[in-house]
Amino acid sequence: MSPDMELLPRLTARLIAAAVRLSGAGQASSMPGKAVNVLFPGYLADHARRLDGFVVVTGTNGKTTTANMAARALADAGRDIVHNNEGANLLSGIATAFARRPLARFALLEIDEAIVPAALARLGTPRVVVLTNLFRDQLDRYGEVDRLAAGWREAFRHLAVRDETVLVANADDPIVTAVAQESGLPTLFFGVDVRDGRAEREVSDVTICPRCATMLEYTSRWLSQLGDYRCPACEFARPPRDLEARALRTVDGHAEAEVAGLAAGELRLRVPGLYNVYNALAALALTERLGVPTQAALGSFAAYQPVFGRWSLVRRGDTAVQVNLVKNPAGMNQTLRALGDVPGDKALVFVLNDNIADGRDISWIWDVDMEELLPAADLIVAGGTRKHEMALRLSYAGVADETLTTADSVASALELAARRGARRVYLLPTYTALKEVRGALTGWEVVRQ
Amino acid sequence: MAVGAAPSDAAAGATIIEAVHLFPTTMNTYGDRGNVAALTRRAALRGLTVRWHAVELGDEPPARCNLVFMGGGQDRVQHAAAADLARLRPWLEAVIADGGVVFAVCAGLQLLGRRYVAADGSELPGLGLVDLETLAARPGEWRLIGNVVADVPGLAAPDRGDAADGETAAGAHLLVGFENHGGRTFLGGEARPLGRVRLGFGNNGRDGGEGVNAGRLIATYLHGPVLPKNAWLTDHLLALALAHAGGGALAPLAHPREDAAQREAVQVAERDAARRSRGRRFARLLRRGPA
Repeated sequence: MSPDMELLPRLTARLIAAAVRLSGAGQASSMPGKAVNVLFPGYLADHARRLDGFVVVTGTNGKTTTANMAARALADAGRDIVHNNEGANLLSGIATAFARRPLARFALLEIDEAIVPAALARLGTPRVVVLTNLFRDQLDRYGEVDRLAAGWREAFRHLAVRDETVLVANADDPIVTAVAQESGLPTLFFGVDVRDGRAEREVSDVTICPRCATMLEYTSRWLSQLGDYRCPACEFARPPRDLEARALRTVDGHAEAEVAGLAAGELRLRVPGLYNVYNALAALALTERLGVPTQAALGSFAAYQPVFGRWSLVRRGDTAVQVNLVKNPAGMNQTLRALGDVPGDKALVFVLNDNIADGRDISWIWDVDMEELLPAADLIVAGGTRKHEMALRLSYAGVADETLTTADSVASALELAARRGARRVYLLPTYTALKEVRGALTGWEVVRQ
Repeated sequence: MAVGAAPSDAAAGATIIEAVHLFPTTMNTYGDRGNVAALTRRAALRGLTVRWHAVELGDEPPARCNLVFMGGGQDRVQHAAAADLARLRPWLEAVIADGGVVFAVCAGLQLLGRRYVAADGSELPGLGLVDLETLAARPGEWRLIGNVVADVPGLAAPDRGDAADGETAAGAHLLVGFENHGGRTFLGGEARPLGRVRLGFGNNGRDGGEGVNAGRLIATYLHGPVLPKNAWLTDHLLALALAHAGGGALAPLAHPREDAAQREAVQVAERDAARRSRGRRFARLLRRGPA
């Protein structure tokens, strides 16, 4: 398809985007691309071929924030890129992004971990693939973690033949490490150095050696299967880090760390949490690879404002509401731990939906370390399509009946919090619940952090 | 604080239920901690202590045991678990023969049966503690995934001595939860299912059976947190274990939050069924055009 032959797909995308926005159905970040992919099946591959290049960010957690941080650094460095920046990470979201920014010559693509093989089959050979982590997520949609890893292996075998791709991989995650090492592709490993050993009890899918199935040994373990591991039976062990974050700390609710290795400097973020340090490290490895000067990238990360639903903050009167998407045990544990670091009275609102995009199986809430990590709160509200299961989980974790209540909507949960005089509310919705949260917070003032 | 523990522990001298969690690190795919939490919690609210012993691959089990729980696992670890279970077979048999209770979920159910036949025809021998076998999904067969509602006939009352003595106790129950399995399990002539599916697939998607109830051995495909929202099953297992521990009858205990979660699970199962039937009608319409 020549550039002007792309006119029809682009017009289609624009028309549908306008219709979706008019109907108030949302951000129009995937519907336009869905239609384009059906009507013009060659569009994605043709457009990708005309790019100067593209890079991919994939994994269970941290895709959106990692890609957004890297996009911000690339934009600040004056690069013209196309980026599916609203977390619409299926083929439809990629097509939507291409149609919106048809002239950009370089693409930064967040890709759902389950469709990596299908996406690369259409898009061709990426310059860089960032592998954030592989956690247990929405098992009823994706099947088992082992099967996801097998899909990655297969996709990377094809890339190895061309030998034009570099991997950026999380050294602290044994399954990501095993996939990267087996791929034969050159790999930049990143990792963090955590020595306080606050290991979580949360179960993980990767406790046995990916090579020989012996139980892995950890000297320290800090988040699900992430840690300092080695196999007692074979050679497999956490590889040396090309890029490492050290001396992690939370200052005034913001994460800070020192970065060492192929890039060195001070990392300062406007968001809390160990996993945001991981996101920034992965983004830094990517921007280094793409030639952005280290200090410029760190400056961009320090100015990075979270997108809605990723620790975003809104205010009305003297009430502040912070929203963070939660969708699996690893993410929820990290969120609760970050909340535990924030001083002061607070109300928590969990909104647990079980629509298809959330995963219909909500078993995962029982794998969250609620007993250990749930911060003290004046009020805890359970909402969403599975509010009663959430309330039961919280009750079994020891939340007293007078603190715990259920609400039929996000709006009524906020009213309950207001009636109790809560000044600081933390809203933790699953994926589809985020839309209702956005609606309920319309008119609130967005606070820059 | 342990998962599900009540604020105050049981008074000294109260009966302790000795419970074994088999292979908690390797067999843990789906929220199995919820089952541990439910047993611990509903015992604690009655002043009873459940003392959990984690038995990992290769570990020696404790001599005294009133209750055994085994969860689900990925294919890769199931082989290791099957090999080690063969070692533990005499112990498990002794627990059941002595009056203890075994509760297994998903892969645990498959491993307790006679055999597992893989897609290539190769066989993984099971424990043979219950008369059932499992066939891997054949090419073209889907995994059986979704919300389940099943009707369970009255369970044997443990205080009447013989728990295997079928439906002597009145009181049917609803069993709700989520299933996700490729294997199709078929019960032999001697085994009875735990329930009959109203919504969902159950053991094999054909005969309507869900799980297996062999009195002191109960297993289900409903994984992870099946016990929290089926308080009657939690209490049934606790009653059997308590009687075996010499603690007498289990005191009654209300379960309003558990029942609310159960009603909600029924609603979502009905919602999914309605969606599927709308989808099928739409697909028919597309194929044939409006009638």
